[in-house]
Amino acid sequence: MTNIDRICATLNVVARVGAVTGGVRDLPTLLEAFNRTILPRRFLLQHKRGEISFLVSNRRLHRMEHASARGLPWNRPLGAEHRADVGKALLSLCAAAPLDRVDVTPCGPGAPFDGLGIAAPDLIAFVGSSVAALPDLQTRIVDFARRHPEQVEASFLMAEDAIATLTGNEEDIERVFPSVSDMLDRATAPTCSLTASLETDGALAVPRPPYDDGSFLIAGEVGLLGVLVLRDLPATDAMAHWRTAQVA
Amino acid sequence: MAEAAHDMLRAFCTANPSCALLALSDLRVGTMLLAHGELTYPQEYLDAVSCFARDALTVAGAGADHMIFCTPESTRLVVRETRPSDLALTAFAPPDADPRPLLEALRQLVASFAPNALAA
Repeated sequence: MTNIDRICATLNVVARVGAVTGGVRDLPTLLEAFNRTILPRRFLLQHKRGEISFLVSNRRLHRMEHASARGLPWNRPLGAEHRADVGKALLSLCAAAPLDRVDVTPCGPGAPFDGLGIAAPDLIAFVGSSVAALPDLQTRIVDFARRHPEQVEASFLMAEDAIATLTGNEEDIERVFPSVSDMLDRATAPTCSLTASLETDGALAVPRPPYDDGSFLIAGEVGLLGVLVLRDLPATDAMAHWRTAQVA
Repeated sequence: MAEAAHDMLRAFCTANPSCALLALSDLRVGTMLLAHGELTYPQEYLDAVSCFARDALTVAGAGADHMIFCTPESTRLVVRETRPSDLALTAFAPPDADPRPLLEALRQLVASFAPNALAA
């Protein structure tokens, strides 16, 4: 099975899962299906200006740090020949899945992320509605960001290595992710005693380097993590506000 | 010396009623040294709390002296001594407890433990 085959199969899984479930907990299910199908490849789910694109990568996301350091974009385009191959594969996919148009922005060998970016309008609408249907974690994070606009630099949802940006933009995430990434790896390591609670309903707040009253807050929901990158808000304050919002 | 340290934990819990359990851990070996509070747990659980403290501060990074972890059941606040003594305090409080006053109190307490304070 080629990588394109895997991606097509995955998108079909996504479409099928969406058709079958279509419920509140879809996003983690979709991400899980996506990851299970394309492993060991990874993908990035970005939500920006109403669009969602998938960036399939065989490297872990904290490699963004290296890409950023070299001034490279996350999804540097591939050559035309790759684009054509991918286009054909995705046109086939469109015939099988309920997608009427697929825009392809692949990246590949030599790029910081060896993979494929896909922006599919119907899939965007579907996944977008699934994200919006997550009432708890996403709503709480967005509400937190609305209440503390000066303190929230960025926020995102995360499952496995997939990210859906909630507040902030691509540049914000790119800037802050290197410092978040290592902490997330430690917090979600199988050997970490916090992991089980964190990935269900726990919330963790820690000071953020360079330890000048910034902090990270990670909140868990089943299969999903929400991350708030905060400035001028110590971890204790962040947790107090988070719990207050949760109770409210 | 250990008895004096236990008295300090007891005094802390008295002065901070929201602290239902206070545990002093040696992070280097992941062992619970002392604990005091209205909650009673088996030693295995208390040792697990030490591992939790060690993991939590690892997650927070070398430059951080504390972290806060909340679940629907409790708030756990872990503070480590900033000198290289491998000591950390873990406070268990109700989920709605304000961690801010606890943090300052814990910092003061853990700083008062000299590196050899627990030597028998």
